[in-house]
Amino acid sequence: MSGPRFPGFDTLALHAGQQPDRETGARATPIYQSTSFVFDDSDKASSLFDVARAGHVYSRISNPTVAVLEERVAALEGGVGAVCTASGMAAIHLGLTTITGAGGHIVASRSLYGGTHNLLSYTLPRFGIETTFVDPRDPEAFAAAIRPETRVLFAETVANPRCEVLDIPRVSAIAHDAGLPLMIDATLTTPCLMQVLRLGADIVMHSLTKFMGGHGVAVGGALVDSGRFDWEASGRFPELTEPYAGFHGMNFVEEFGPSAYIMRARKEGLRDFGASLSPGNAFHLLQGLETLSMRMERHVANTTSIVQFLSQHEAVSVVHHPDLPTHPDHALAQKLLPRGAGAVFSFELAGGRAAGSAFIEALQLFSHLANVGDAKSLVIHPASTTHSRMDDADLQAAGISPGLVRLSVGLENIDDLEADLSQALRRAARVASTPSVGKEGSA
Amino acid sequence: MKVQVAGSEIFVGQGGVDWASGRDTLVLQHGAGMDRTVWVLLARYFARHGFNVVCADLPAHGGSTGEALTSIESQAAFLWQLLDVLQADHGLPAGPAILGGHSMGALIAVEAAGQQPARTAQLLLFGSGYPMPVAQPLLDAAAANEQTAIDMIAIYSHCLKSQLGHNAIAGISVQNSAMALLERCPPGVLHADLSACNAYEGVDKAAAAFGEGKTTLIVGDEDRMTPMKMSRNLAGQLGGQLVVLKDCGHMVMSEQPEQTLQAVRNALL
Repeated sequence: MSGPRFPGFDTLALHAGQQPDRETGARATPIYQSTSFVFDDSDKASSLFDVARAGHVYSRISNPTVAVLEERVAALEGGVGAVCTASGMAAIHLGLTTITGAGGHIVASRSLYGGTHNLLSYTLPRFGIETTFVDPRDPEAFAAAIRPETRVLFAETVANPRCEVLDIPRVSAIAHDAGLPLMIDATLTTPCLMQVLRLGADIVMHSLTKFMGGHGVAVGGALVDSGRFDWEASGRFPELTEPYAGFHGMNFVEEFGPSAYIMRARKEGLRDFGASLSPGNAFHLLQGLETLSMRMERHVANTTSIVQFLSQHEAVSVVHHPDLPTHPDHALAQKLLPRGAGAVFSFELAGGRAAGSAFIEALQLFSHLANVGDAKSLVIHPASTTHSRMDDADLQAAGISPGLVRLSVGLENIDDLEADLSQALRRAARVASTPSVGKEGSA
Repeated sequence: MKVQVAGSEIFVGQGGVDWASGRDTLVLQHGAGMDRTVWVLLARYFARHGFNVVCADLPAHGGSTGEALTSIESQAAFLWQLLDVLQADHGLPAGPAILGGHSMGALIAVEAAGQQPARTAQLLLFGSGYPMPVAQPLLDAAAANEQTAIDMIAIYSHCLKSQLGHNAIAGISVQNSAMALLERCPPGVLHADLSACNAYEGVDKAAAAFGEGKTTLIVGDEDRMTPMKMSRNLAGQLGGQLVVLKDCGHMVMSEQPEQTLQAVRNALL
């Protein structure tokens, strides 16, 4: 009985959730491009609807190709189960609305992806769900913002774009002391760099569109349940601990125990909101996931080099990455993210907004677009794009200055990337030194 | 529902259907460190196919309070106490019951059949064998409440294919689900359960009292917790039928739910 071993991360990335197709022997996961699935007989049909047997009914609820991806993401995160969704935003929405409703309250980091900020600030309040935003670097602020109607704490592992690192063990302890789950957006770190469920988080979601898929060809999301939060002991979640009239009077905790949350997310959330992932996109995301750790190693290695390069460049005023000892979360990142703090970060050019524009337009290998986590290197100006719906106060609170530039470092040859950055920085410096443009830049 | 039995509050699952007269009773007993939720599909299926399903959490397991029982004999006696309470006060019709159990739960079912053979209609034993020795490193890790104990069980209870996945329930990891269940076990409970399995020597006596030809064993072909040799031995002692599931380890209900269902259907319907 000595020496028990679980399959390793890379093995799971390649195999979890899939076995060679019994009918055809296909080694790769087939794309089951079918809306619905034939019942063997009427007993099987009724049993599937009663959740008395396992199987697929309709691809909005589950699909064999998507199920492989779901099980693989769950395995990589160490969760009891996962539900994949049409996008990362759909995963956040599903994750939150499975346990909150009208009158509910969320405590969230104020440093969030712009789309998440929109959802929490503007959209969910229309449905009676309020959010209090707090400084992610101040765990006690999460505690202070909790109300009787609070249902979940939410934050990102490493915030975009200034790389605030969340102290997940501390914030999860605060959540659990209050009988609440901690939900984490781990899109930018992936389970390769940080397995947040092992650090105390209860729910983790991803935009699979980013590093998990890695190739920028498919939009998708995933929601993963640790299975370790005690919904019954909390007493705040009748959605899970009391009979649900919308599903045969099912009490999800009684029936499913550790997987109550993720089962409810599927049986209610996918059924009624319908933001399911297509099998075609699931297939593309699976191809990317197979090489996750190798890609993340290269992403991190390239980022480490570029962070050093930029931090020593005279045209750059500040670089926001936890690799740097000057970053406020350097020590925390060393502890929680020993394999690297990710490949998305920001920096500020000495020349401000005009220099930033000139820099982005001069780049040739870096693509100017609204995405991160692609195999190819990307760049964007957050204030005018991803975070453009935030007002100046919110921008300031999120730490986004007008001249901030965000990079997502890809897998290209590092010498080529640094050469591209170097020539673009020279262009930016020339613009910054031009009086008329410099005046525009400071406006 | 929650019922009071011998000073403990016991959680009893019914498969989502209230009990009714004119139905056979099917008792499903979980194994070491687990709880009723391991039966979710079978319980829900047979509750909708003419059975009064009883799947209870043993004391100190799942939703039940109390102290862990430390022998298979006391667990079996407790099972009859529970059925007495359910029949007297909670609408479970009287009459012989089909006793099913997984792993340690299978030993409980066998011992219970030996204690009250007239009240036992049939035995369904899942992932089981006899004797059921527990390796000393696992006992030691469980005694120390170490995570290693849970890791060992999670690894040795699932065949490699199940560890990698392709679960029949979409999106669920059977191995991680088993671990999450085991991690909910209060300190000392897993060790008490494993020690009870390790010490149990009562099958000869129970088999003699219960008789032959009324038992079905459903086991996995790659079970490393209760290897085939022990399963064959137990089947032989009970004069039972041995059903071997392909590509399956110890957690037959979650690893191969459809094969398991068909085997139980063949035994009951």
